[in-house]
Amino acid sequence: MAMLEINHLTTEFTTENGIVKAVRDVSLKVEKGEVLGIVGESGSGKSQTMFSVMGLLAGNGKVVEGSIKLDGKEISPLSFENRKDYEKTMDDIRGNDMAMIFQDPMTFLNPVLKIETQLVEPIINHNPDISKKEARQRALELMRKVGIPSPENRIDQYPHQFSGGMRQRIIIAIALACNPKVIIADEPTTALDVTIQAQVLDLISSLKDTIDSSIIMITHDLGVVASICDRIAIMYGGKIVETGTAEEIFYNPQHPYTKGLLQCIANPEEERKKLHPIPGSPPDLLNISNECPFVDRCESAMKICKLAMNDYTSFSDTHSCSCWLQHDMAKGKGEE
Amino acid sequence: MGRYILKRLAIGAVTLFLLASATFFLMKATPGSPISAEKYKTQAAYEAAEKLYNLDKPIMEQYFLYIENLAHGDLGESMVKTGRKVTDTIKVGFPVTAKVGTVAFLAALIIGISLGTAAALSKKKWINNVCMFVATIGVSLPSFVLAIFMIVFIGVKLRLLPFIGLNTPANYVLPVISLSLYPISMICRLTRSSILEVMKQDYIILARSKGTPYRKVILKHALKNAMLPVVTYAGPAFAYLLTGSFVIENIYSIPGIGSEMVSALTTRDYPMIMGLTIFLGLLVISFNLLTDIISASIDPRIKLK
Amino acid sequence: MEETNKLELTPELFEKLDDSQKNAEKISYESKTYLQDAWSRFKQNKLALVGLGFLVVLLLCCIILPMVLPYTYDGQDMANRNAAPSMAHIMGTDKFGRDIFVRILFGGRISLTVGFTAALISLCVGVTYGGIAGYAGGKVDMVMMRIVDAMYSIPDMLYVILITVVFEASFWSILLGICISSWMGMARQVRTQVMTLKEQEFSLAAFVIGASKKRILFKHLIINSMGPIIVSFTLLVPSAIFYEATLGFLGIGLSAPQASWGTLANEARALMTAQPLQVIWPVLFICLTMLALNFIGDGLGDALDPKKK
Repeated sequence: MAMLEINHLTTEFTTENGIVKAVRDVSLKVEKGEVLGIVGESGSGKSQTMFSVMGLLAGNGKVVEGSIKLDGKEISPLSFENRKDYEKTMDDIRGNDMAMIFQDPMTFLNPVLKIETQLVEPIINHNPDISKKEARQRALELMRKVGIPSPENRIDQYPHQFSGGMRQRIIIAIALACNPKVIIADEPTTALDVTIQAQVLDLISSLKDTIDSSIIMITHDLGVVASICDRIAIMYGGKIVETGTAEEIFYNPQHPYTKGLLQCIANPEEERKKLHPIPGSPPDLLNISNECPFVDRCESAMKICKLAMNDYTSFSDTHSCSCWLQHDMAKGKGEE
Repeated sequence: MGRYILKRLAIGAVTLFLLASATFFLMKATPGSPISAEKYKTQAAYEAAEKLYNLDKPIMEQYFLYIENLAHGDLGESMVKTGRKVTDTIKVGFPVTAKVGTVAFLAALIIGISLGTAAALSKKKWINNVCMFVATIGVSLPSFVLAIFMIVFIGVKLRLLPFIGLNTPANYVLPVISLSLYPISMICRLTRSSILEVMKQDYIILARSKGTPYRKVILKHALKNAMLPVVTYAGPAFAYLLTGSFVIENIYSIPGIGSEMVSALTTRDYPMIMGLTIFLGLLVISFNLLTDIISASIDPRIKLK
Repeated sequence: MEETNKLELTPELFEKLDDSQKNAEKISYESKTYLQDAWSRFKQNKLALVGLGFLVVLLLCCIILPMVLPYTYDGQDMANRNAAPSMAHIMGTDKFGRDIFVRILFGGRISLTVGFTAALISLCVGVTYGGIAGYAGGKVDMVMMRIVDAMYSIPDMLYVILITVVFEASFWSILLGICISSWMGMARQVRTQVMTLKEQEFSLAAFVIGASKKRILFKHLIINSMGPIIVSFTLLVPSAIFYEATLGFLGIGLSAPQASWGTLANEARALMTAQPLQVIWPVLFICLTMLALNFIGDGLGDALDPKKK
């Protein structure tokens, strides 16, 4: 049984200008101990998918369809009778069974609380009987685990006394606090300097081997997923357009968007290779129709792409893609 | 921290000195004086009076004398109420003002913060509307206007509450309402907007992601941050309430330093005006310093300055 | 997906799509200019609209009605003292038999003139001072802001009162007092705005294309912080009106017969128990005007803040 299974998840945001469908009919699966990468441009709905799972959507966001199963247990807000029950269940799950690592270490730590207070919080939340001293010991251990030097001195400091990379380590430590079944990392390296990015990425991939949590890695950087992910899902315009193992995605991409993304990676070994940026910009998800979200930027778009999206075509047990080019009737067309 | 406070004390002292000097020269530049030749029957009496207030000396000498006395805490003597020391007036007037001011301040703090918090967090629209209504009315309604409305309707027409002096506890009600409505509305607004702002911050999401219940997130993560702007406002506001609203004391015939100031102003009692101005300045400066120290103890980042 | 099933697949549908049929840069919501957008948001705020309406009507009344009505502000009618409101005197008469409505209108002229003039002067002084401090930065900024800090630490009312006493109460001395007490907030705000804007790319861009320093300061920085400045201005007006009214009410403001609303309230104070209506009228006008201005200020604040889209 999959550790986390999302089926047909649809999430909408109500805005002044209308309803924004940020996540549309997304289905995903993460096995135990597996690392899944979700790749997409900003605004493709990858973070909102995970915020829907965690129940941390902004006030104007709402899951309108679909199911979310954590270790076999249904936790979609739609399956609860009222908000109160849902929040109560989620408070037990968040930080305990599922934890999240966030994007910007500068803004995600509370500036007026000591590191200790912030680090022992999940431990105390989920182990109400633990003594203060013991919680502090566990916090110190966590700090050691994520590679913070002299934790005894630093635990009583405030976030502003830490560098960006160190703060991100604290955030990772907070996520690890209760050995969660699933860790969701929402662009954990995007806001960091390049050298620090590498360090944090190293930390995550070494943690991957020492803990048995499943990890979902959200990123817009294919390079990041290549190094640590077992499987990859490509998101575009609120939809998953292609999923597959890292190998399948990198060596046998099927969707024109995946191909486009791969062409955007600079490779120092291939000298003088020209980068091919994808023309245009991502679609506006406001009142979007049934068309394929990529149609306006796709080189091989066909008339049908304006009307609907194709079902998922499977290439192997792990590899599937939603694109009309895979349809029998399109063979030989499009890719002229 | 210690150095920070010392630095601030030094700046405060300089400000106070500048204020004292500015008031002194302003008063000297003012035409007309309660000590004039016509007021005294004989030339000798007039000269004696001039001598008493050092008015016979050159202006710079007067200034240095004034500053020297000030350094000893001597604010001089009234020119109108002969023999009355300015410091004695403060000793009598300030406790009266402070009593009304403190009650008004506490009322403002409690009501303002509760209303603001309720408005920010409650999903019920009407609570928000009530809060914003109070806030808008309070900010727009000058205290003396409110005082007059209350005196006319509650005091005169309905005869519900007394409105002259401070003899019984009931006498406090109207002045306290008049004084506190403005700070209530300011604190209410600040609390509301500040909590709304804080609740949007990323660290609230992180706190929620740890499984901390919503109520606890508010108490532990939001309120402390949200109180910063409130403290920054409330400190000086308390000082203003303690310095006494000139108008409110005047309307309700409260014998505090505000009333003394108004009567000194209308009789051009210069030593009294100067002394009270410096005293008020001192109060405000001290409270500003106190506010900054409290802010620094709430937000560790402030210490860095 | 259901939609797919409904669709009848024909080879024709698999023809390549022309570039002309794509809309790669489409924007699905209406685009509006900053001002249109601000106005449409301002219109949604009913209180602000009511405030604006009240203010316009009040201004027109204060300007036109005194020319039309048969009474003057000092015309006494001893036979008709302390009269209750009637058709002839819609707000009644005072202890000298003067028509209160006309006196209120004249008072309105003074109060509103003081309010708007003082706010305008404070605005100019504050914007210039804050703009210079923020733009110059460094030591200049530090000294300039220390001065503001020092002045800030003295109660506003004290300035107004001291200045008025020193220079004898007149229109100009009151104006001076109010301006001295109210420009600092504006200066601080503009300084912060300028400092933030200075860091942003467009001022660098302007510098690179060779715009002169002054030009950058005024054209780019000030115009970009127009929104918050306008809002502060609408809030400065009621506070100036408030100071003037307070002075008048304490009896150290403009003196009779040239009476502002505050002075009128002060005159009627003695009769507060016997003739409460006489004190209510001017006070009511102070209150309504300040409410209206504050509503407008709030409305503008919401409308002009681009973040509140």
